[in-house]
Amino acid sequence: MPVVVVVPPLGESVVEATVTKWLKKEGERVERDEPVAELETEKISVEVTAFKGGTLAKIIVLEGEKVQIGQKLGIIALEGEEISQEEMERLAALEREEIEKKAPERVERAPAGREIEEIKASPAARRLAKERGVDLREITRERAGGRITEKDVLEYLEKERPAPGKRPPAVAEGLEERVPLSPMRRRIAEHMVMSKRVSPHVTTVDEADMSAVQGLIERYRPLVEERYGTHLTYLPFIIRAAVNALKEYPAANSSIEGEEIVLKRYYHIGVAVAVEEGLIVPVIKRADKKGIVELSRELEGLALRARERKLTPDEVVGSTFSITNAGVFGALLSTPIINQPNVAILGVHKVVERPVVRKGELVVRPLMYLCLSFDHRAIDGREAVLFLGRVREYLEEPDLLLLEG
Amino acid sequence: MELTREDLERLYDLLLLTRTLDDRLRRLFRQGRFEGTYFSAIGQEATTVVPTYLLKKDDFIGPAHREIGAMITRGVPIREVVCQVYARKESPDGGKMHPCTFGHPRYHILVPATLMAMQIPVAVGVALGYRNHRRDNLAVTFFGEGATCKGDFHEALNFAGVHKLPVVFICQNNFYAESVPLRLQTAAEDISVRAVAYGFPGVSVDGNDVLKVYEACREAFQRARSGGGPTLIECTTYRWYGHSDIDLAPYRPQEEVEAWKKKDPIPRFKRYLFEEGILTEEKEAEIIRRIAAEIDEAIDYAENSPRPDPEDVLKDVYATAL
Amino acid sequence: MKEVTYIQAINDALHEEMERDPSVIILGEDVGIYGGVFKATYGLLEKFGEERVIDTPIAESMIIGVSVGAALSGLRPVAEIQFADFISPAFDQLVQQAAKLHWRNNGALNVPMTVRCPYGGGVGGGVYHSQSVEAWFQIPGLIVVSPSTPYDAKGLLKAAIRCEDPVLYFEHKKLYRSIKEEVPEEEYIVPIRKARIARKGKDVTLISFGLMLYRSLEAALKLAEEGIEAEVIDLRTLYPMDKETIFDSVGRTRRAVVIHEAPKMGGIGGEIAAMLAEELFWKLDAPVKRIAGLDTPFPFAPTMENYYLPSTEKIVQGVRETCEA
Repeated sequence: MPVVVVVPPLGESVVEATVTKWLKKEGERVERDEPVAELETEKISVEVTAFKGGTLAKIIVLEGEKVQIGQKLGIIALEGEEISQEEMERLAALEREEIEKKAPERVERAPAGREIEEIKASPAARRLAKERGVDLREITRERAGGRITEKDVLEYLEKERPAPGKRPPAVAEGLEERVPLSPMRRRIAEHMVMSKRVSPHVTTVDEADMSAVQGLIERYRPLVEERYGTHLTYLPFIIRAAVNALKEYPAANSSIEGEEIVLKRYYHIGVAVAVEEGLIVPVIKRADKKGIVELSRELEGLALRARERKLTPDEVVGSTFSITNAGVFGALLSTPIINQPNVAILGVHKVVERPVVRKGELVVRPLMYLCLSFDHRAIDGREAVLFLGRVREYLEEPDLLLLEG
Repeated sequence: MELTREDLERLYDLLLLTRTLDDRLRRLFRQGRFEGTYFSAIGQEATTVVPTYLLKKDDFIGPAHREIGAMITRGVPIREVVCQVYARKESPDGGKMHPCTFGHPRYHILVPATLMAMQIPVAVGVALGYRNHRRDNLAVTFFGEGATCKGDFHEALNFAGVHKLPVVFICQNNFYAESVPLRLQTAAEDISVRAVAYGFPGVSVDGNDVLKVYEACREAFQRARSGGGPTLIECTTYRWYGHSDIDLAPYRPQEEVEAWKKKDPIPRFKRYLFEEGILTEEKEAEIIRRIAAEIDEAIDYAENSPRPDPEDVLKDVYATAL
Repeated sequence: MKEVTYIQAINDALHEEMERDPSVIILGEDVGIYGGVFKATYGLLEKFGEERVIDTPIAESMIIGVSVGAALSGLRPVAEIQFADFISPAFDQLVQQAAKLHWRNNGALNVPMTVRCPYGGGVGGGVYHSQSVEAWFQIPGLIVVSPSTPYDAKGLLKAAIRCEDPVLYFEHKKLYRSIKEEVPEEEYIVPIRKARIARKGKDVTLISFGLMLYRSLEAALKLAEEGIEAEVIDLRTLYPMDKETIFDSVGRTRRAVVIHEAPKMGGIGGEIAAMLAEELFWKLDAPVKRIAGLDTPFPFAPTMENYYLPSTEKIVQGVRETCEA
């Protein structure tokens, strides 16, 4: 069975390190106890050595990335072990124990709750019932078990023995419905409130002429569909345009940690996907290294898995910048909330044919509003506007993407 | 006891096994194979292996947290030593304790509380039991010079002296209490003078010299067994690595570390064995091969042995059913 | 039957246990030649000799640490900490060593030892000779008992000495010679972790031990005149507690008041109140009340000492409030 190379303990209180260097390449032979990678923490730099000899079959975490203690760095195939590419991808997503086929851990059972018979009524309920001469057993019969609180006694009194002159309930029955927040809704709610509280949001708007991209899509969609099996849309172009612009305006691809701004030289783009219960933001890792077709494919895969709720935890974390497409539902313009800990989010919208003046003439063009919400702590207006202008430029002249790579 | 040629060869074997396993465990820790941390005893092996070798199998040992050599010398299977470090179900402590809480009740080595000096009064109490029961046993306890600065050390030695109990105190003076150098720990000339205040002998020996440690222990053990009371043996030695394996020991000058590595007890002993014709190249190669295989087998075993069940934590809080 | 004081019951238990089992030894400060500052170990040295009755130097940590070791090599030490207030230097050996040793060694080693600790106020002892420190030892692996009567003093001490776990035995100094009772001459044991109903009642449960048990019983008499029938529980074992007896009683009376000498904050009363709130909440008719020592050091001047300790009057008042709620 393969052996997982993990981030070793790095000292008390140290939880994080950066992969500074891989000393072995994928496919290269590794001896037992031989160093395979170098890590660096704020305190020390350490070599990670191999637990067993074999072949470095997969590098999971690339140089420059941050890692946590115990995180999987790579996989070593032992002597004579053949692992297919697909199998490797699958392994990389598993827990270390599953890969090394350890004896399964026993799952802790929740202790059985201690039941107390009789009527369960809170002290407050008992006191009220006693004061008003209510027999608690009548309430239990109605509620068929459960716990009686002061509120239950009050409701019982309202219904059974309405006091004269009491006002009726504000809303008649059936006109309101109360639905508890689902876990996902609650998470979204918490995240949105947190984001608005933490980051002073400013939204700037620009408008892109999508003629060129539209032309490319129309021209190549059938070919791409046939040759690569993916349906071409605007989004991969927008992602590429954003990534190229981010390279020029690194402040937009950063996060604020304490007293520092962390500028990231890797481009993990979160893309908001609407699902039935709410919203998921899967992340396209290393978007700068991926072409239009590859982005298109990955988007389709992520969106599908998001809707089927099959995303793995690491597919939804680690974004450095996010994009939200309200256009699919028909929105013309919106002011998105930043996906923390990013400092900016790009909202893209419906492409609409509108009259514009070009070279003194009124012409019809497919236009789209680009809205950038940014964290004013990290970015100032000038930078945000120039960044967004650069996104527009890439979208209006997609050939530049080809030239710059 | 007098050491025969076989004893000397066996001692070399045990020292090498202790060293090799310790070094391998350090690496395994750095490869993330077990949780917690690791306390290496490399450099100090002679101070535990030799005294343990001279004891009877049922003499009590009260260890601190670097006594892997005591476990190995007592004959605890290497598998169980590795299981201890891996916190597996088959560990002598059932996986309840942190790595390097080396001990094994069935082998009369206490699984210690690794707070400094706490094992010292316990060893004295065990010796009190031996005296009351007229048993021909003695209790030995290991600790560093750091522990000799704590009250428990002084209270225990004082009481042991009053009652002339069969206990021997073995201090591994490695010159650092984690990072604090000896000069900031005591103004005394050495550690063994502390025995004077308690009315029994204290000796200082080169803890990296197997034969010197042997001489000192032989004399002290004999005295204790014959009713002559306790002895404090100070073995000067050096731990090559940090206090634990996440301590890079920046507080020690590199020249000092290098100088001590030259005083490594194992090659010194090996030279002696070669000069005496007790050990040969072939014999040594044989030993190294066997040790490597034994260690590989033990690690494989521990790697594949089950972790404790979560509910195991609930076991053995009390001996009595309450 | 013979009538004995609380201290005589302790002394009798020690004599009988040492006769019964030659592995029982005594150690502590002044326990030998002097027979103990309270005379609890009187006559033992003469009868059992220096090897079994050991006058130790003033070194509490050593006394406990040596007891642990002695227990490991087949003895059953009964250590005396002259005043419970002196136990703090031995905290390490009790809490870190003795309490965890059986668990640490995966059940392969036992620590059968008893630590006798004279404790409690009302004796004009001032801060270092009056405290109730039982709450310091709510530690898994330790057993804490505290008898309130001569019968229990003898039966619980025997149970502690025969127990395979470390037992802290808190004996109340004020009760030593003020409480007398007839106890059987034949052998008996009071089981550990079994509380006792000292008085039956239906309206409220008073939970207490030691000197405070007697004040609670007095309070119950006065309350009966007002028509409040209080049930009084004598805890006997303080840790781990006899939950069953407490829950059974409070489940019936639906009201609970805990009374102890130690400061209210962090005392065992808080633990009892929390257990009741957690598991018996739906049966309670009133909040659980704690009547306890003040959150201050223990004072010397009699005016302050009387103010510090829960009095019968304070208990009556507190129970009234609980019953009115």
